[in-house]
Amino acid sequence: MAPSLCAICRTERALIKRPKNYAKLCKACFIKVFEDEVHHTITSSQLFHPGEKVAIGASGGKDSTVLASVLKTLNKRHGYGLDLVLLSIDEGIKGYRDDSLETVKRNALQYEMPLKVVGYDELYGWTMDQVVETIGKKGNCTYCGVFRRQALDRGAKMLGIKHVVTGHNADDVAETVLMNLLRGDLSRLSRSTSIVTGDDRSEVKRSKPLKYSYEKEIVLYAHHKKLDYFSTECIYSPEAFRGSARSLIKQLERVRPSAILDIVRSGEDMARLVPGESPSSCACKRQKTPAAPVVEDDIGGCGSSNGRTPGGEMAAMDKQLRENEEHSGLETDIAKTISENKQAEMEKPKELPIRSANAASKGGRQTLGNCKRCGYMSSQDICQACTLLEGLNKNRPQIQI
Amino acid sequence: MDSNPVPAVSPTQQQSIVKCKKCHTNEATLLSRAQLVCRNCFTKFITTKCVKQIGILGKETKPAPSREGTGPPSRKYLLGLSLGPSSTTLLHLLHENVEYQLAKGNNAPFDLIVVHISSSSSPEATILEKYQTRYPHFSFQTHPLSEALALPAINWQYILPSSSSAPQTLEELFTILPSNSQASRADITNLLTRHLLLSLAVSTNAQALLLGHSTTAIAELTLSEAAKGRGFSLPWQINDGLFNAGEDGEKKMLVFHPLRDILRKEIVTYTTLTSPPLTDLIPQDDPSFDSINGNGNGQKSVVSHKDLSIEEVMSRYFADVEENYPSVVANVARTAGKLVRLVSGNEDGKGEQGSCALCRMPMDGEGDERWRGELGPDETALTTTTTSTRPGGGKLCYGCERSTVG
Repeated sequence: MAPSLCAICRTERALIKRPKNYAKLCKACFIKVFEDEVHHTITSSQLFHPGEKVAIGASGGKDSTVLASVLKTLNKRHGYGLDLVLLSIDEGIKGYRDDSLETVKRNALQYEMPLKVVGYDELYGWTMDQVVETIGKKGNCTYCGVFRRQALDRGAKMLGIKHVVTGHNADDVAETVLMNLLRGDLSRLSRSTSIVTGDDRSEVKRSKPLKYSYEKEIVLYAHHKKLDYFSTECIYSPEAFRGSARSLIKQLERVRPSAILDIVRSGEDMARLVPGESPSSCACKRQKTPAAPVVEDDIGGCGSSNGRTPGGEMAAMDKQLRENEEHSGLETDIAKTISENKQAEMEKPKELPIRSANAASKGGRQTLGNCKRCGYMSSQDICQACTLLEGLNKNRPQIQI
Repeated sequence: MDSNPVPAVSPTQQQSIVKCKKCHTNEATLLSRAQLVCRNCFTKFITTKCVKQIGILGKETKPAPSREGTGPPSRKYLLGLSLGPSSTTLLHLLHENVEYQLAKGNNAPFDLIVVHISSSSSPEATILEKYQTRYPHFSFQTHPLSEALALPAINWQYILPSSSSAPQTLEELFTILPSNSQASRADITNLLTRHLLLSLAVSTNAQALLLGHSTTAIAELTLSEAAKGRGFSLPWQINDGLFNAGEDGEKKMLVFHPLRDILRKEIVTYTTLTSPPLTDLIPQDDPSFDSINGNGNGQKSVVSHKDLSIEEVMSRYFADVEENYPSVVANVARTAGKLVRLVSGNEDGKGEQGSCALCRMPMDGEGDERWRGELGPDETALTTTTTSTRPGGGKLCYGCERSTVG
């Protein structure tokens, strides 16, 4: 069979079959079209303004490395006028993060960007290795995820930066849509697809310029651009809803490659169908891109794309739901109250029951306030990170000096 | 045939009889929602769940002005019978409901027309004989799916602009369509089946179309439709309620899912518990039956994953979830049911956007506009010819466009 020519330039030999739509392209055209698509996402969503200082959440993994490379290229090509900085979080996981941080350090030189590393130990007084030592391997991803979300914000604040971009890709977003459907979490579903989270009220906004980029294309881009990235998964990877949703996405992609984008589209549309959400959130009416509030959640916890939720989450939820069903079967008001309390607990499984003035708002829509300890925005009096820390510190043996 | 109720009790347990958790008298032989129960209590559980829904349906379908004495039944429904375990079980439960009322000396609570849509162009007349014999109160019909191609509800000029008339057969349709994957064929087949059932419900003056979806089927549908880009129209597909049945939605038909509170595995167990078992009726080559009632994890071996439909991927996935985490399945169905039906386009005073030329669900103008903005006009240009000559012309919804032109 004669070698087929690139579908775009019609001169070079097609070497790449795009995972997204099976179009046959040459290497140069693939790289160009990948960058053009990210550029389109950036301009249509009006992600940046000229002169903006932007921190790239860099883990050393493929997604954030590609994000850094593409942003550098586009910033120069289209004159965004951005001041780009790499921001890395050191969770303190030996054998994983120390190696990937070396990659980020090389990236900083390759892309001529300043690098800031913020450690969990300096922010919280705990490294992840110490956390795991204390609480075991099960459930530690909760800590890591909660800590990381704040860590990026705190790191950005240290640098005086108000915008952090992350490497979340289309697969991550699709995965989150399915995961929230599986978990029956409509309020997260309605927030998870927004390209920007956090608005002017919050100190640091987040965005995901690779929201529409396929993971497989990110890998191809990194490969053909010979990018230097680190590809080991976190050693504390859990098995959870996210893992379940992830394998489902991969199967769907095999059946119909467009499925990933189709799920993203469905997720965006369904966000408007959630009761109580504003039905209009159109980005194209010349207003600023609507931003979903960041309330202690974001998608795709770690750089390894693994979940932040403990293993056996599905089993735990199943058990909890079943208990609720049993309780609702008892037709006395008392039982109903218990069951409702259980429901409320289920929605916030990782928090200690704290008596607070705004307890009434717990069942309803979340209201954004600030943590009384650290000042980080939170829908509770004490934010998740501080609550988790309190538990950890209680168990920490007193070290005599 | 071999009809095994789910063996929930191990041989060692059997030696000392385990009492049913509900009646505390009979021996527990079945596992229902993590409880060991007896045959009677299990059957009662299934019947109650269904009767509750039939009651709701009865309230929604107002009786015609009542005539004194022994007038004809005042309600009329149409049931879609796929010959699978769920729709057969629904038929059986409706039959029991009628028998119960007749035994009490009441009139039959409703008339029922049972319709089987056959994928064969000339369905065998004998296929429903066994059903008709067993359920003499109801009338049975078989229609070839190809009848759906001629329905005015589908506007072929937007789907196949190059051909002057509607396709005559499904084979013809699938050869003309640019997108001819198994995923697309399955999606379009589902849409056509639904169209034909709705149109038959309208033409027979039924007040409601009854579908046999189990909790598991609704959860599967939720995720499959999301995976096909049909998130916007999901509330029209999984919720009970009025559905546009005509060309411009001038006719509305109530669509109802009376088995929505029962898991598929419970239905499959139920088919073995009736006497005689429903498994005698259900054709054993029914794929849904095979894959569910197979041995243990029973899934048919897959030749190539590419040849599966989205629905098949989901049913495999949920068979596993249902087995291990049944409450998660129920939660998916319950949560998805909370999504609201939205008619897009009203806020700018543009009025309704109309409905999709193929599926007749409302168009999502706002979502389409935003998506074009976010992905750019070139997004699909490489897979199809050019954007401007793209069929549909804005008359197809996102999901239908995906299934027809790719």
